[in-house]
Amino acid sequence: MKPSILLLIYLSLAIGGAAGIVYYQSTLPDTEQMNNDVSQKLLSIDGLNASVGELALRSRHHIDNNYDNLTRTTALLEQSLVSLEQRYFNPEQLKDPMLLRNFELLNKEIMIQNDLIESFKSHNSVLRNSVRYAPAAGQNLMQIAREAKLIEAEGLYAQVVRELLEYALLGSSLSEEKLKIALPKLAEIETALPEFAQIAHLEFTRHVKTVLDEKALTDQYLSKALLTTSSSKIQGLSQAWNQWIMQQSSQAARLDQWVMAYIAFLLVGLGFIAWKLRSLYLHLDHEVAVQTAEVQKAFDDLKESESKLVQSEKMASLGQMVAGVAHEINTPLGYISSNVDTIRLNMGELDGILQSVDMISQEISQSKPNTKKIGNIVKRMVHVYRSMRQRETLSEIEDLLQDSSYGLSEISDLVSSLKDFSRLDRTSVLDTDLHQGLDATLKICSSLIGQRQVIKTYGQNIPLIECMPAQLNQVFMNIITNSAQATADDGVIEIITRATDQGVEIEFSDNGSGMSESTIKQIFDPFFTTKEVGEGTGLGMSISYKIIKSHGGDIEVNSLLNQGTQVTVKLPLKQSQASLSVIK
Amino acid sequence: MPTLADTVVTQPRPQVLLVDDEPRILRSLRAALKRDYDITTASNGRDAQKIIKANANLSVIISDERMPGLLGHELLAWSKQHRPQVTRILMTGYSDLQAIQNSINEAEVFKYITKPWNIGELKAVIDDGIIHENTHHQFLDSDRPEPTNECLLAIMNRVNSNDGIYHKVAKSLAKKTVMADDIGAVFNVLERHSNVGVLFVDDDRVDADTVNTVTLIHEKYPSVVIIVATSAADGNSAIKLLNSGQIFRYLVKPLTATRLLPMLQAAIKQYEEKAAKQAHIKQAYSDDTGDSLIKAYWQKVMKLWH
Repeated sequence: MKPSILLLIYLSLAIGGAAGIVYYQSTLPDTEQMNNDVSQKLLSIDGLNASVGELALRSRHHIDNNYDNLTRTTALLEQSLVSLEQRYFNPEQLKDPMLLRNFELLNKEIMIQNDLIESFKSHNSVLRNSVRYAPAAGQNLMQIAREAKLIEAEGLYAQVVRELLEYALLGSSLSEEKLKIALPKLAEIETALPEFAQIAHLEFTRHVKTVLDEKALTDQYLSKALLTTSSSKIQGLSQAWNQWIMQQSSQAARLDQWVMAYIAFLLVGLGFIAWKLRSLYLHLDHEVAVQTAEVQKAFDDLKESESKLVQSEKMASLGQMVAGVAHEINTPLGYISSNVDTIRLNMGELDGILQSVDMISQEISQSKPNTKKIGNIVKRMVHVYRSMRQRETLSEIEDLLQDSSYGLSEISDLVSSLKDFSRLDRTSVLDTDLHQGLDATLKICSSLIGQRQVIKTYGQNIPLIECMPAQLNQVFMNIITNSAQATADDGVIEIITRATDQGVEIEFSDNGSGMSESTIKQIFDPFFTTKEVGEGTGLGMSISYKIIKSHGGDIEVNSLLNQGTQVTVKLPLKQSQASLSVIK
Repeated sequence: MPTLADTVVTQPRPQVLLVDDEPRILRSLRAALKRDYDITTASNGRDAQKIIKANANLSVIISDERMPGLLGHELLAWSKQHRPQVTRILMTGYSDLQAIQNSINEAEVFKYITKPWNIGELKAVIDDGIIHENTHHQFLDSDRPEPTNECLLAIMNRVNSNDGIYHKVAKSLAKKTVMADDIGAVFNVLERHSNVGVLFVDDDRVDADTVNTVTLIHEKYPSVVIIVATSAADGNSAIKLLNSGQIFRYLVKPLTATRLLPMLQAAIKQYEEKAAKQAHIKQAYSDDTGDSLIKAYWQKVMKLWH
């Protein structure tokens, strides 16, 4: 698999993992703070709940004269529950049904307890009222009975008041029994009482009855309230809560594990990437080194091949020159060698005549020359001679010899042109007659020039110039070769030389195919050629340009497509020191 | 050296036309050849054309390649059209590939002679050319069965990259084609099939081996028309292939079916003409018992050959 795909997969996993952890964490409550809050609240609820019982008992035993504390406490208890429910124990916040059920149980229990406390409070109020007023009413009635001399009634009242207080305050069942027995007795004494006391008596009796009734009810409610299991419910809730918290923290612990795993995964991945980057870097380093070496090598090769190409251009021109010269030499050589063979053949016939002459001289030198024999020999000799004359053998020999010597002079001209062209005898800068170089070059290119007309318009008094003649001849040959190749077989090549203020100007012009503007622009570029593959290296004009520039001269090309081309070479008379070093 | 003229004294001397723009060459050649042949000269192509038109008995034309006006191979190609029986020899001091190719493929020259020439060799070539035109080399391999009209195409393909083209061409020609990978296979084919008319040699490197092979095939089976195709064209080997192997065409690759087809058709035609001529001469030879001209030529040929 590709490294980029692997990296993509890894990054997806890393992002996905991070998102998963964040989401998972968001589903978890902030358990610590919650736990603190809830535990505190549950503790205070427990406390309040205990206070409620205590305060109720205090009220019951008339230690507290009012219900302020009790009422405040129950209200606080309820408030605490409500706030607990709102903050934590509602189904929207808490998904744990067990905990919710526990809370609900507690809530109900507290509600019931509070209702009982309320009932206790109201009954206890009535009871307290009767307990407060009954003794006074009894005292009053005891006074009245004493005054009316109703000793039995007075005693009854005193007993009832005593039993009532005892019952009301201590809750003794004996007192209750006694009170219950005393009640019909009170009804009996009513009639004996003076009329004005009857209302007080009735009121007293009602208080006693109220105490009897309310005391039982009050105790009943109080005991019920005190017997409610709210405390254990609180404990249950507390336990459930603790369990839940533990569960939550185990989940948080699991999250921590996941986070650790995730971090490990990231670290491994990052380590792998780092390793990969390092190896990539090392590889790149290596690659760069290799590439640099290659580029360096290519550069070296290029430099080498440039000099090779310059050399090969020289060799190509040389080859072309040699081929041309070979043809030029082969033509005279052909007829000279053929002529020599023919002359040798003809000489064979002459040999016969010379032999005859020898025979005649031998015959004559004898004492008695045989005239008849001599006559025969002479006759034969004359016959041979006449037949030779008839076949024009002698004049032919003369012609052939003349042609041969002409051919030899042609060859010798060519050889001296070669010498002039290459100037191998002089490798230093010297004062040169350019016309000599031009003539030699034309001679050497003559097979290429063929039938083309060459017009030489050489100026008068052209000064000798300081140059490397062989190099300039190479330039001339390049230009003349291009002209010859660009013109038709019957084309015209003109060479004009003139002296200028700065030096010498040589103008080559032809009526050949010419060049387009784009070709002219590229003409001095190395490797630019319009010739067929193998016909030119594309370096000729580039090298010519270099040569002329190194001579401190200038070369200009003007051309019109299908009209012709004009190349002007300008050369200074003397070379500067700088040029001299470049040329050499 | 004995010459044709010595052997057949009674016959009129063969007529040879020399064409060159250099008068000294004409003079030299005339002086060298005039003993054995009737020499006519022309200094340019136009004059030569007039002479060729006027002279029905012309046997040989020897022409320079580079002349003002008409080039040598152009003149010889023209001559091939107007006097196909005249032996055409090109003589030049400048062996450039294009000129050699043109002289083989367009002018169908008999030989290509480079300057400077050797007069004895030149005479031998001229005599050879005259025999070549008047008799036929097929005559020599008389132990081979009569060629039939059904010409077979043999292709010696050392390259194997052009197989597709050959199959296509063979299909259009409707000629049976035999492929051979090497020299041994080619000789095997030539031994087994009497009617191999055209041999196509496809070889990227035309070296001394190729030249020797072609020469050997031509000497043993002169009736076979040989075409050589190469991607490494070289003037010298082309000259050797022509001069000692008498190749019919010299092609520079790449090859295409459209280029190949007319070439092979021409080669088949050449073969058929050769075969017809050979049959005719053989007939004449068997009728003739004594010192017929052909017999004289035959002896001459044997002499030259050994």
